[in-house]
Amino acid sequence: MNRICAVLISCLIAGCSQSSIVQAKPAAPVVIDYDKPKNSVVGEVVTTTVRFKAKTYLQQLVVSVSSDSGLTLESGIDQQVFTNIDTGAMREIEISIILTDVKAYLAVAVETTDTNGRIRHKNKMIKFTSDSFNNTQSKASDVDAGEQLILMPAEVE
Amino acid sequence: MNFQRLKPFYLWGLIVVLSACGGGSSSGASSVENSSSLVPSNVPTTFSGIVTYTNYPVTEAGIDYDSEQSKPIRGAVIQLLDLSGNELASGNTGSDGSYSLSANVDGSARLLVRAELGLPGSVNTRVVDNTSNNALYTLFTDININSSAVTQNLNAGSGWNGSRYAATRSAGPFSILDVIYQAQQLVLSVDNAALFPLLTVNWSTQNSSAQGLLTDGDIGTSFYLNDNLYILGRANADTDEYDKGVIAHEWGHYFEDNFSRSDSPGGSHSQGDILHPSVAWSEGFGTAFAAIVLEDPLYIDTVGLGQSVSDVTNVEQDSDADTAIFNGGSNPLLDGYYSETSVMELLYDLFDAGTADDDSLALGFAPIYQVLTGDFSTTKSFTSLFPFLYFLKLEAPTDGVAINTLFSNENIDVDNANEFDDPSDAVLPAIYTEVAADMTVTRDNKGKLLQTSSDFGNASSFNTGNKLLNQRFFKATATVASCYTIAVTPLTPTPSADLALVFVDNTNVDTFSGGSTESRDVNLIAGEIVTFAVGAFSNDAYFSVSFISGC
Repeated sequence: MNRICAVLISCLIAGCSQSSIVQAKPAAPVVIDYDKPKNSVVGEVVTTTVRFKAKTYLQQLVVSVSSDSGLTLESGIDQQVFTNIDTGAMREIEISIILTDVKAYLAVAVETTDTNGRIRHKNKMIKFTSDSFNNTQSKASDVDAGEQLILMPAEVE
Repeated sequence: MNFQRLKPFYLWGLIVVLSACGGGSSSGASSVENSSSLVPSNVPTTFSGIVTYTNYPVTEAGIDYDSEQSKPIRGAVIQLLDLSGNELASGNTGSDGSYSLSANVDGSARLLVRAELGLPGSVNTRVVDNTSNNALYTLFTDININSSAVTQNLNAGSGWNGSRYAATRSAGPFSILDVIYQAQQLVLSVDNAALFPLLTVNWSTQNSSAQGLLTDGDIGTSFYLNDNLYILGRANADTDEYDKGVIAHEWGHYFEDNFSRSDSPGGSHSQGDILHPSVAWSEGFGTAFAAIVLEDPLYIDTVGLGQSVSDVTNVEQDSDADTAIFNGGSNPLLDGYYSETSVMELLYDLFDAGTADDDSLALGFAPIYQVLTGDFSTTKSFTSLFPFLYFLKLEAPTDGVAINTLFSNENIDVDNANEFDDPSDAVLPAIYTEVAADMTVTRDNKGKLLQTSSDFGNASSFNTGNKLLNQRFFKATATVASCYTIAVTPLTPTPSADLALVFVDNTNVDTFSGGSTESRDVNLIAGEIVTFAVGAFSNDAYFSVSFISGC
């Protein structure tokens, strides 16, 4: 049932088509997963666990955490180094933040080093929203209001 | 070139007032030749100039903001509008960013450079803001007319103030557009009749690696999907508008989708992965295509605070030692048909020439294009290096020996001209298992029970995985003209497995239920081949495959 929902949602986003295939740019060989942050209240502490699963053997995994917007780091580490991680093995860190805005982003950056010494990077944003965040406020309108332009002033000589 | 930033309509209103008061040349909004007198409206005015954007090279140490460049905006649609927004004239910028428009203009006009390629009214590429109702990015300036010949240069600024993005990042959409212009020119250089279906590029400074609604900018990563590119733009995290290799890579997927064929199931991937052959092909092609378009073997993806870190791939270098093994042990070599790195290195070696070339082949893009848009796009087999190799040797028969040498060096079995035969890999099972007519098979060509495998990556309840052996491949040949039923059924010890039957072009049969047989009827003529793959929405599913006539 969950998969049916996922397919339906992807159809809504991308349109149902035999070729609804997402083809992404290459990424560092680590899967970043996290507990979905629950809606919270601005000013309260929210804690989440971020997990890092190695897709190949990693000599080293460096994890850095910082506030991108709308939050402050309350506790936990802001950088941690893991070494000698087997394929499929998981490492995790717990992070506590305080929302300073109704919508906030936590930046998680990783640097991986594989057995060939190949260094790769990956950035993962984790979005937090407060109970008072109106999730419809930034959605595109379904109303066709004609051609819409973003007018950017040119630099002129 | 610091231009005072005013809200567009405030500026417009200001110019209207200045114009009405007889001012204009002192507004600072335009540079006008021969400003001695106002021009009557019945005399056409010629507008010309150069349109540019601020570019920064990407290096192994991120974006090099100290090396600012002015690059032409090429092939973009440019409009001249009157005070009410009505179009007076339109055209395209040239290969040097130049434009020339002529119209009868009364007093003032607006020049609008649209982030679009193609002819006005018939564009093939648009760069829009997915977080702002898909509005089109445009660059504008307003001009008071007091000459029959107005020269006006425009630049799209980067918004970079020396330490951070502090103003509108106008250059971003045009930097993306310029990569696509180059990609189109490459295609047109070998096929001047090529037509480009509409592509929408979704870029926003809010586009980040968060997962969520595309309209919120939570796009996860830069990707291609159904004639749409989604491109990252969030500063200090991951921006891709100057990562021209990333843009060209993703456009390569658009090219596959519209000019060739991809059977890739997509999904996340990393160099060094042991991939589904169609994923390895598609992703390796994307990176090689980027190097070919940009005439630069370095694929650079910048990331991080201040965009100061880079992941660099040199497609001209052999990045994995010939003896390097995936995770050691008895696993396969890193090089192979399942490696996007092997694919990108081979394709670039086939293409490149000159003093930096480290191989004897220099075929250029034409034969690659001919293969991809020709027989490769209709091959019965799943897209991978093997059908490409097969058809390339038909396209360039005199280079067959050199091509074989090149491919052999990347651990590609060149003796079987396509992948229907066992590639003789001691570690891996045959790519395709043969299913005879009116038979059911439970074992592969090496006698092992048929199963999907998580050896190189997991399937999940949402997708069947994109690593090698996540899907198993089959070939069946009709003995007589008939309707045949292809059916796959889960077996012990995984009788409840949820299987999917996958055909080329990613047409799937999936009833969304575990433990069920998945089937499709196909009409075949005698001797006709059909290929298909079987995946599962869980790891290591066992199954049988049948191919029965007379449905």
